[in-house]
Amino acid sequence: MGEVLLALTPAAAVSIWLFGVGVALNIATVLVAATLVEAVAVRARGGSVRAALGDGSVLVTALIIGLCLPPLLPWWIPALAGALAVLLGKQVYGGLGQNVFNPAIVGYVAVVLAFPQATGMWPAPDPTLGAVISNGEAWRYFLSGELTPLADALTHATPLDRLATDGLAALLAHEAAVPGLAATGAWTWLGLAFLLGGIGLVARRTIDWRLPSGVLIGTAATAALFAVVTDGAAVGFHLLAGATLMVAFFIATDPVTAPVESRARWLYAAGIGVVAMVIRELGGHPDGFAFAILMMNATAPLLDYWVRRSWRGTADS
Amino acid sequence: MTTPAPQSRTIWREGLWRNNAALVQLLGLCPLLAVTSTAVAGLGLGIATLLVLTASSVVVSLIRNWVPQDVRIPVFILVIASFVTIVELLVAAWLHDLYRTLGLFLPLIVTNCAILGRAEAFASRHPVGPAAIDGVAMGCGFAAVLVVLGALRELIGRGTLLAGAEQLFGPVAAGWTIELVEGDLFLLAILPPGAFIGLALLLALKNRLDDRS
Repeated sequence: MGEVLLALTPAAAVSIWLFGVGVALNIATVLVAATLVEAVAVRARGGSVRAALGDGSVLVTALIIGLCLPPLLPWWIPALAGALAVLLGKQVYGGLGQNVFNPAIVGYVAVVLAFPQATGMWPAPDPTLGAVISNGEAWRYFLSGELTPLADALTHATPLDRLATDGLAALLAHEAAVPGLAATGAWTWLGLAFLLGGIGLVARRTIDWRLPSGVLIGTAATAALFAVVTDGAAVGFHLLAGATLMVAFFIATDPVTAPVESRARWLYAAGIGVVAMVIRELGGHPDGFAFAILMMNATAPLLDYWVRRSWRGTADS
Repeated sequence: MTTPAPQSRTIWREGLWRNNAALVQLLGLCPLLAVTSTAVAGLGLGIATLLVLTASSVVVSLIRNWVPQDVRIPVFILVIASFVTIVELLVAAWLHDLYRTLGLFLPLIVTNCAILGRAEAFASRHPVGPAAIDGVAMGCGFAAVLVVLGALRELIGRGTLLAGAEQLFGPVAAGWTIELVEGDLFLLAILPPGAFIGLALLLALKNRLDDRS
């Protein structure tokens, strides 16, 4: 867990640089809520609170949720995300190691479905954002949930939002209007920060290289297919935009919710990319990775079972 | 075929709690999960199911000595389907708003396994009296879970109780809605995942209560 935390640091730093104090507030709130709920739930189940909190999984969950959520939110949304992640994503199954679904994604999806407006509101990624939305204003929204008109005017369509609502042409027109930036804009920095941490984890063999490779291959292949057949966005855009790199290196690689067999891992990871691209290109949600993760989590035990039966005796370790 | 009929008190206890169609047998989950976004919708479907269950239990029990063993399932389904059609037409005629809220789930009562289950497991083996009591008891137990789950989801999701009561009780009930909080609360509760989570919580609560006693 320690190495994963370290690998998430660049992304957290870039995120705070781009979006300001709100990201730190989110992470801290998720952490407090998740820790409290973990302690209460473990105690109710008669386990050791110290052991449960000492494994660091709550910290990783808090960091991932904090980086997924938009930076400006009233405090109860990140708090609920953290509480539900631990309670519905982990403790109801019997604690860490028993959970079917990735806890962080369970918490994130719960609040995204419950508060679609607030969680769909992303300000433009810009280091000078702090000058426009002051820290004081971010704090006030965090504490009261009341949006000032200024902040309201600042909300910005993410590249994926633009693709979902206005289509590829609008996205490319915007790219032309912002010379020197790829269509993903400053989001690219965030993606690269995840990539940096992720490559570190692969190099240290903390995570299985098959899982991120599978996600990226699944994503790229499906995006390429859409680019040809339905005139979808470019492959590079899909690889850099939204949650692709974060999911590939930090969420699909969760050893508890991924399959065990190598072949099953390839199928699982590629499946995440395929499902997410189908949701992005054809569905109503701007990004599909969170749903793709939950769907493939559910299939992970079946994939293991199927792979073991189909390749009996040839399964590698 | 006939086994000695249990006491009516036992039948009631089984239907309402110990062998509850929704919480213990886990039958009829599709309507249970799909229509319980408000307490009133749950109550409407619960009453419709109660009527069908009681009527079909009585008829299945009456014809139990004439139905050949090999074709009993199609016969039971026909009986159930007839009553569902009757109930559906009655609701469409008199409670048209409720009819539109419940939509497909009203005719789908035919496929509610709780009803066929009772026809097979109880009504076809017992005389009319106990079969009728069993139908009412099982139907009440199922309807109670629908109402509780609907109220829970409505309360957490929208912050209201008894919204749309006029669909079931007529214009008199237009003012019955209790609005505890303005606007939506935790929207997830009235979405499909909320149904599964709510049912799981009710199951956990029932098991907990049973463990204590």
